[in-house]
Amino acid sequence: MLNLLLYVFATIATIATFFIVTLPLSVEVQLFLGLFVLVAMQFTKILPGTLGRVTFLTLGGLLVGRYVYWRVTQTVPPIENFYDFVPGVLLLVAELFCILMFFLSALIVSDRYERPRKVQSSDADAPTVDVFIPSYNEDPSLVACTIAAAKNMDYPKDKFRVFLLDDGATLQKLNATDPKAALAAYERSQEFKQICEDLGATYLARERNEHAKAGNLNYGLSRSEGDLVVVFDADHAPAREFLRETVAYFKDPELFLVQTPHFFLNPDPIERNLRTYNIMPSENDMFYGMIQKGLDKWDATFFCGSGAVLRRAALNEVGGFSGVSITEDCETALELHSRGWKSAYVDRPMIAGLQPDTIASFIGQRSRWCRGMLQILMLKNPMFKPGLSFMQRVAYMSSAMFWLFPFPRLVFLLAPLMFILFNMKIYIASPQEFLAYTMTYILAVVTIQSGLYGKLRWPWISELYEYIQSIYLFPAIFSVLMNPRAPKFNVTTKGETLEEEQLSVLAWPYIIVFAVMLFTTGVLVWRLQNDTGQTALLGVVGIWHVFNLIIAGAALGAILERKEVRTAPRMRVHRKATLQLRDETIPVNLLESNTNGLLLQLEKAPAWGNVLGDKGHLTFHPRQPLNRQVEGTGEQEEALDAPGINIRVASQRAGSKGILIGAAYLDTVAARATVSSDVMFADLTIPRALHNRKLTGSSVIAGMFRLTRWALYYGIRIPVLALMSALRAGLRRKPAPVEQDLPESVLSPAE
Amino acid sequence: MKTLYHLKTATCLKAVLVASTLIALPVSAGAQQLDLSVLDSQTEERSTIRRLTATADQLRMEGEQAEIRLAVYAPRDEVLLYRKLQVDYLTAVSTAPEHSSMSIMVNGQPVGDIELNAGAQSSMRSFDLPPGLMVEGFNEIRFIAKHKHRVDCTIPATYELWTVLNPANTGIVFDPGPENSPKVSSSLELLRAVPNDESGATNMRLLQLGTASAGNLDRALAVAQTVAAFGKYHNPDVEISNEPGAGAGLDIIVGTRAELSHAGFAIGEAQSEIPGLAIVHRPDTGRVSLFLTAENRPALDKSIEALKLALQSKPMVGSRLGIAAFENKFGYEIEPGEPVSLAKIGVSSKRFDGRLLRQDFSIRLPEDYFVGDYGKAKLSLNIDALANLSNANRLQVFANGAALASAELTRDGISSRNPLDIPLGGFSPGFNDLRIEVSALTEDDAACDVATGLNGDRLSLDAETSTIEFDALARMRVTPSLSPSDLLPKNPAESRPTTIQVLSDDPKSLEAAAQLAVATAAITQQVRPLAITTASASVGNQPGLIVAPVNRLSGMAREAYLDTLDPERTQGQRSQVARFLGLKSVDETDTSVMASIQRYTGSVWRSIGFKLNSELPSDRSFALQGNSILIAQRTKTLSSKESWVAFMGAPVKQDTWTVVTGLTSDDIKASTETMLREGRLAWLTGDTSLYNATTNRFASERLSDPNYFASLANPSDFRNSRLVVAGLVSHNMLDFVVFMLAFCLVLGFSYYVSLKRSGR
Repeated sequence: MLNLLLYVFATIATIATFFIVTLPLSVEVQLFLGLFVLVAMQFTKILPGTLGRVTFLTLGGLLVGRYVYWRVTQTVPPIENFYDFVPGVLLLVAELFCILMFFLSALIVSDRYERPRKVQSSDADAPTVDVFIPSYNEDPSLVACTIAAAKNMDYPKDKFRVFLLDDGATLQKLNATDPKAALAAYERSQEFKQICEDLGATYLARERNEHAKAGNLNYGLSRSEGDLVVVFDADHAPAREFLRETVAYFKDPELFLVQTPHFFLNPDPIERNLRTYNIMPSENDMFYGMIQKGLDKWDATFFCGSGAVLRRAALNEVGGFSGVSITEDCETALELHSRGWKSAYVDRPMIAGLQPDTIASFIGQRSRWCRGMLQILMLKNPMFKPGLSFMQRVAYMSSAMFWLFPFPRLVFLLAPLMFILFNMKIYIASPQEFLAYTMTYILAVVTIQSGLYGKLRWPWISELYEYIQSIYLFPAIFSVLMNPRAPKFNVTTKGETLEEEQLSVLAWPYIIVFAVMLFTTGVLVWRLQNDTGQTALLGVVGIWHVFNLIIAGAALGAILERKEVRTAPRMRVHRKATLQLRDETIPVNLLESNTNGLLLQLEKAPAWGNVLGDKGHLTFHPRQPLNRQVEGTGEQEEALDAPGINIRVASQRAGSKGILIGAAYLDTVAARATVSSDVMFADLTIPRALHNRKLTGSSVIAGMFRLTRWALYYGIRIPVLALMSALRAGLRRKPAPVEQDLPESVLSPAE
Repeated sequence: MKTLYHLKTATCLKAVLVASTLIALPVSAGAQQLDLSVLDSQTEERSTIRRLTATADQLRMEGEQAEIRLAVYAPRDEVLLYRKLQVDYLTAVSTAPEHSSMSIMVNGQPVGDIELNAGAQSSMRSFDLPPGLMVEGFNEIRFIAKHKHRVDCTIPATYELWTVLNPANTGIVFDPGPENSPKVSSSLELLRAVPNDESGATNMRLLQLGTASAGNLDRALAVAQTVAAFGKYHNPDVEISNEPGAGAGLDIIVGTRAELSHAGFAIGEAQSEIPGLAIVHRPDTGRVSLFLTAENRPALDKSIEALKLALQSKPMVGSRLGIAAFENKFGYEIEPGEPVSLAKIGVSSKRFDGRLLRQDFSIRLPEDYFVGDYGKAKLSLNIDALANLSNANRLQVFANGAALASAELTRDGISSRNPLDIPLGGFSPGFNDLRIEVSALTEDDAACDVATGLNGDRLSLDAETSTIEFDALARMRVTPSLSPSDLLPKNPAESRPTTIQVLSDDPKSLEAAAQLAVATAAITQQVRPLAITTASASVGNQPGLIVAPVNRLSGMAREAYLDTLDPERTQGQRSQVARFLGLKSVDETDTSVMASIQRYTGSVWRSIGFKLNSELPSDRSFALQGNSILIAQRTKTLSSKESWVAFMGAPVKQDTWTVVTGLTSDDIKASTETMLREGRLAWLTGDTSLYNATTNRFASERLSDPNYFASLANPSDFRNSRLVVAGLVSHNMLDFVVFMLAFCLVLGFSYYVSLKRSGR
């Protein structure tokens, strides 16, 4: 009853708010209301807790709601001016979409659920677990590392099995008509079988590559029988604690999913190319640091394809992993939520993975996500799917509709151009109204973004990412809308290298757009001097256009691919070992590691001098035990055995605290993977701590300066580079990049 | 100066009395001596003139191109006699005669052109009127003056250009025929043709019949109001006398038969449709005498009511343009939400070759229109630039003398695709004067070659496609309020008349009061029952209209005046905040740093285009000076319960005092006349206005808290209520902002609790 009364009160108050914001107040009143609310937002922004956050959002929502009403009722061009009306309505729709997404996300993240930690301490009642590592075309050493890390998980050995689900060597692939492809598949299968045998995993390959990843996982389901199923992507190596920290939640018999955040060891291509990885929060931090927690409150956390534990019984109820869309993860969660199953999100990064290395791979990955989520929107629309709660519908709609962002982003890009170049009046407002409504609305949104996501997403970075993706995702959206069932799964390439700095193969559209915007800026300046009747309006639109220009200029920095010679990313580690080299045994500190080798620091001066190219053996000291009480005994978990590996000295130099040795692993892939998994992934405390250090805010103004700096630097450099590159190509008569260089998704988004 | 007609003796009426009615007039008063020093009256012998219904100020054409449209009523027995249109003008010395002219049109047909020459020996011209051009009823006469400055190419120089028509000698000239004896007419239409005097005012003489009851003066005033509303005589020159007038004008004689007989009027049997009504018309002067009599006072009141109803039901006749001009005399009736073309309002499409295009027109908003910035009027102009304009041209819109909106002009002109928003708060209930100014400077103007600068058209205004459209208007009566419709406060007892309180020894104030009553009736088209009361020592204790010199005020009327002298009246705590934010004007004499900051802040808002304050100091003094009048309205303070009841639309009685005062009775009378002659009555706003007749400027302010009455609007009408709330907010901006912040806190808390009780 009390709840009902509360809801009624909140509803009435909301209706009253609607009445107030729709009052036809003068532009002066609106301006002052906006300014005062913005000031109040600055105060409530610093209030801790949900109450402060909700009040902050309410104030912002007031300005946004007011803007929406004004925008819809006052600013649309009259239909008589048809050539203004059509783009005007498109712009309005784009804005309304963004505002809808704003309200949905505000609703979702306003009260985030901090899930209490549960650890599976007891072995006796631990459920049986099957770990699936689906693979398609990944490098064997990469997959081996994931298998080894999975095998290394802290869990009763008789209660979990690891399966490599190899879709790169199915019977269909082995019998391919292309002999080269068939031979490659055969060699791959042999290699993976050997790795699995060495590491104690089970190798599975099905007959045909049907339903992509979902089909592969379902094959794994059919060949296993554990109570729970864990899915790791081939490049997602789990920490030892993974199962202990997740399976305990399944004591709730209605729970079907525990999802954990994805944690990446390398920067995405935009971070790498703009060199922000070590200072700026990553793109996925907001999703896993905030949105998933918000979804968890409403029991709407969804499966993200990897780093998750699922209940087999629930999967069986829906016939396994769904495969209608190419985002089988979200689709499966949607199906299970609609049948009343629950999900949980554990905000503890326990898998370490890789991001795509090139812009092309990055765009390809995002294109798949985009198309898959739109498939869900069109084929299994959450709004109308029976069985979901209201907030689950809202959550799924929000997640799926987010991927329509290329539409508004491109509309926002083009709208000022329409006015500057063609004098099209697609937004009817006086300069005073722009200030009173639009400017306060924009400031409110920026304030909300900064207040809500400040530590997880720096100002204007979302806009930059969205712009970069939009150029290529827009056609992908269009193709899905035309034929929702057409898209096929494509695997994101990882571990690529670049021998020299070069423009991305996708660079030209960005350069052309930038050039057009630069030209438009010239027209803007000319009109400001000559079209005095519209100075104020030109000024307002000009600011908008210059902002777009800055985004487009900064994006040019992201398409300049930086040199990357490492196939595997380095990680800082903290471990001790003993190095045996030239009959001398020297204690060493492990400083950095990747899947190919280590950087060691000798604790004492050796007798030998230059050992470059020499071979030795490295014995690892036992790592620190996990902070887990063994149930019933009160004793700490025992430290694990120390493995060892043969190495070759690849580099040698003097460090501030001693000699530094770069050691390359020499043993088998499995042995290397075992060591790497233990040294790198067993305990993710250090990378987590390093990552958390980046989660600091940045002011809106600093963000704008940063963006402007990029735009100025790359806006000059990249077009020059492109021009020189084009000239060189012309002189050498070098053919354009062949199609194989481009990601599959870009070539044929609707294949 | 001489009058056109002298009523000689009562015997002149004998024939009339035999034929129809009633009355013999006593010996007439002498000719009225009008002294117009600038505009000398020059008339021809043996002819008479039907003057235009406008004063010299209303016949003034300012700027490089100006236009006046007037409706002239031609009675049936005169229209066939009309032969000539006579124009007497005076033009500014700055006007270059070779480039300045005036065109005259009658019912849309050109009848003549005049070269405007300030140095011309004769300023009076007459033009033949083709037979049949003028019709019975209303006819439109249009004057279009085009001026060019002799030497100056600047915009300010355009304000030096003007032509004024002499109201005494401008009109239709005709020969009234040899018969000068008064004629009794049964035609009520004649009351639309009451001739103006030489000054352009409509002389109305209310006859006070000897020692008869003052109640008859009330009745005469009611008849004067009725006639003023019927003929839209907004500039009445009301006299109260015991003798009829002689020159052009109207005599109103109301009384019982006994009273009229006692006063020397012969009584006959009337054949009018109104019992006891007789209208006597003197062909030579055009003066009309309206007699209304009955056996007793109740019957007299019935006759007045019958006259009122009869006049209201009279259809308009005349030419299409003439009727339109008459209908639009107090502005085109605006229908919110519907765009109206400027052509329909009375604006002509034109090509303009000057530097500052000025276009005046008027509109009419509902009398219960609730003033506030809760909407806007959208002015969509189609003005094409025909010359290579410079970058410094602007469009400005004024309403009732105040600049409300402006926009930059493009090189192509202005398109209706870019409408200009005018805040509603700048308009008044009822009649509103609007002016559009569009500058059209070219690069050549910098060199100021007058000859070459005049070689071509610069702008072209398309009045057909240019429109004005008002947002929905809130309907809510506000008290106190000084709009013309609220000037005469309603008596709280609805059935009783409004009292006009004057001093018994102050006939000038009484005439000023009557003048205001008649003028408001003309403008608002409403006749309000009035009762004149007199006091010997002081007035102002009772609610009503109080007109008296400031030293004779008492009671609430005196308090109202003293209020205006209190500089702290408008300065509360919130006002200080508003001042700091630049929302309030700062005293011009304040030279402190804070005042400078406030002044600067205010100017910044204005430069961006926001109208947060007026440029005039808000704490201006309302202290009276000579040749000025203070008009203030105050009301009884309502309890909070009464305020709420009134706001919800239920009847609440509230006493209202409207005080019209000056230093002397002469000041009151003279300033009132000037205010009416200048057509400034509709410019009254707020609850306190000081009108300076010398400068012809108002200082207006709201000094008391307003009360809101939904009696005229349906409180259950959501749309109206929404607008009213918006209007209230626009008047209480800071309160609203504080309320909204508090409201958001409550809303946020309710969301918080709801969230915490939902989900996990």
